[in-house]
Amino acid sequence: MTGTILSAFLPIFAVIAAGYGVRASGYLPREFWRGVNALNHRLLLPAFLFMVLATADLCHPEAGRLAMLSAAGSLALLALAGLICAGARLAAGPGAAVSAVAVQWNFVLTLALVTRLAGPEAAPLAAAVIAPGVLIGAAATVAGFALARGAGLAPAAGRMARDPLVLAGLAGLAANAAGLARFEAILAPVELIGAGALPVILLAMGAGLDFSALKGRIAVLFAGAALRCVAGPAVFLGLALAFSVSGTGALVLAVAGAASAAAFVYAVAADFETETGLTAGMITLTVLVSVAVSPLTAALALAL
Amino acid sequence: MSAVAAALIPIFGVIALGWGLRKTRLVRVELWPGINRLSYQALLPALLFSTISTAEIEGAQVGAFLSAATLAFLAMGAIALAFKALPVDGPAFTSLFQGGVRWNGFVLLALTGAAYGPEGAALTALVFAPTVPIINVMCVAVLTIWGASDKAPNIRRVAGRIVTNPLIIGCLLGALANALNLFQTGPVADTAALAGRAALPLILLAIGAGLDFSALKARPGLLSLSVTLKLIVAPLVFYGLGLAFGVEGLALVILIAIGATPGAAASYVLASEMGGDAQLMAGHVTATTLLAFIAMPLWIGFAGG
Repeated sequence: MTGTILSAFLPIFAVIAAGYGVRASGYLPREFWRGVNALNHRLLLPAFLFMVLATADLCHPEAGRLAMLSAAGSLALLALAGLICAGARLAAGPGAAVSAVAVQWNFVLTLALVTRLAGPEAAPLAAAVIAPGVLIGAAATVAGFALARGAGLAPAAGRMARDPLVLAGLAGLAANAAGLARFEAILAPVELIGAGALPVILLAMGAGLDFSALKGRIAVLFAGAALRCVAGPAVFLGLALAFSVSGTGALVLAVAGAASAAAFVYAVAADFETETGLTAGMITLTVLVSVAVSPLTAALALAL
Repeated sequence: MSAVAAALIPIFGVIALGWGLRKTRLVRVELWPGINRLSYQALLPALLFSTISTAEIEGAQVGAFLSAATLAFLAMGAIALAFKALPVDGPAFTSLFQGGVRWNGFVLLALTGAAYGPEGAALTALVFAPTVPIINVMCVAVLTIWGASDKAPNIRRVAGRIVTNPLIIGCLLGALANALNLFQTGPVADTAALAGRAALPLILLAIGAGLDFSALKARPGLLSLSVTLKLIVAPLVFYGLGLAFGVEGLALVILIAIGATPGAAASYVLASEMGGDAQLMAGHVTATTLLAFIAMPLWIGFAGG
């Protein structure tokens, strides 16, 4: 089992490391990544999510239960982050960053790892976990940063409703319900883009790693990373155990729970010009911790 | 629907999407160089390495195919040179020349991979290694002589750029790995394949973002001539030389398709840097990109593909 897990994880983390390498070595300096990040946020990530949700078999017998557990896990993490932020009396900005990192797990990484470990047949279960997780995570992230920036509830809701990832998630579910997957010619360009999205997103994740951002505010940095990479897998695996989910379903929940924070969180922080350094540091830390935690959590889930 | 038409629809759709992203400023003009650079410097070399290293290559047929392709590019250079006799200024002639000889292999790579599988993709990928240096040397030479730039070209810098071209390095490493049976599976192969998956969607988006419809109005006579050279003369030259070298089957189909590919966006960059007619070049790339979606299936059908 160790060999299977390592061979599944290694190329994914190698591409992330390659992204860091080409940026840090100056082969593709930081300024060139702005365009790639913009393309990621506005097209690749939404196209990827749309295709995952539009083409998934959401009538799979396990799908409904996994979707509910995923939503429960995300809401539990959001509540936990809220309690910690209130207990530590964090200001609105850092609080928004901690909550976003805790709740917005990296669904691209999750899908890549799960399909490498369990094959393409795991895709419908992954889609069931991804749909509520991404929608709750993206909504909480955008709303949190909007409120921290001083926007009222109505403008925050407006920003949330216009976010490309939220729109793509909803459009993907609507396309699935309408049976759009049958019309291959319509989906073909989105499918082509979606197929290429994964490596670009992984490379951009690596290029976005910022070790200098790890200096200072250690307690907040570690709180965010611990919520994502320690509490995340504990909550998701705990839910799997409590509801007797095993096999591929448990694996998907575990990998989602242990995944690093999504780079999308940084894009939102930058968009609102709020706590970008802290957010970059927390994402960097979650990527590093998830390299060790994700394979362990996957092994635990497979042993359930 | 034929396999070629089915493969062309998403390619055209992604190119159109790239144009839309730039036009609507969802991804602004100044952000595209980063996307281009990631594609050319990292993703495309990974794709070429991955495709060539795992290809099942038969020596004799591939030798004839590559010889025909290389000679066809040289022949196109000679044909384009003959148009120097026309009463056109030097910069415009250099753009006519580039229009005749440069090809956009990435559009074809996307098409052959989707329509003909790994064998089609591998044959297309192999063409990059011998032809990228030849085409670059021809174009730089012509621009040095007839371009309008005041600056003397730095030959060492140009040579260095050709030798260290990531596309050539990707091809050569892929061929070496194939010959030595290295990296057929395992983490290196998996990582290269994973990174390479992003190359074509990104480059197709960038091609779309680079389309410039306003450039179509500049010098319509010369533009028609360069488009004719690229989409009518070139396929015939590639096909004829393929027959002469005994190339047949899928390899012959790919040869004629190479001739019918649109012009390369790199020609605009070179024209801007070395005193060519950049506006004419932009018009050529835009016109051939649009018309290639009619020309490519027609020529491929003609060759029996």
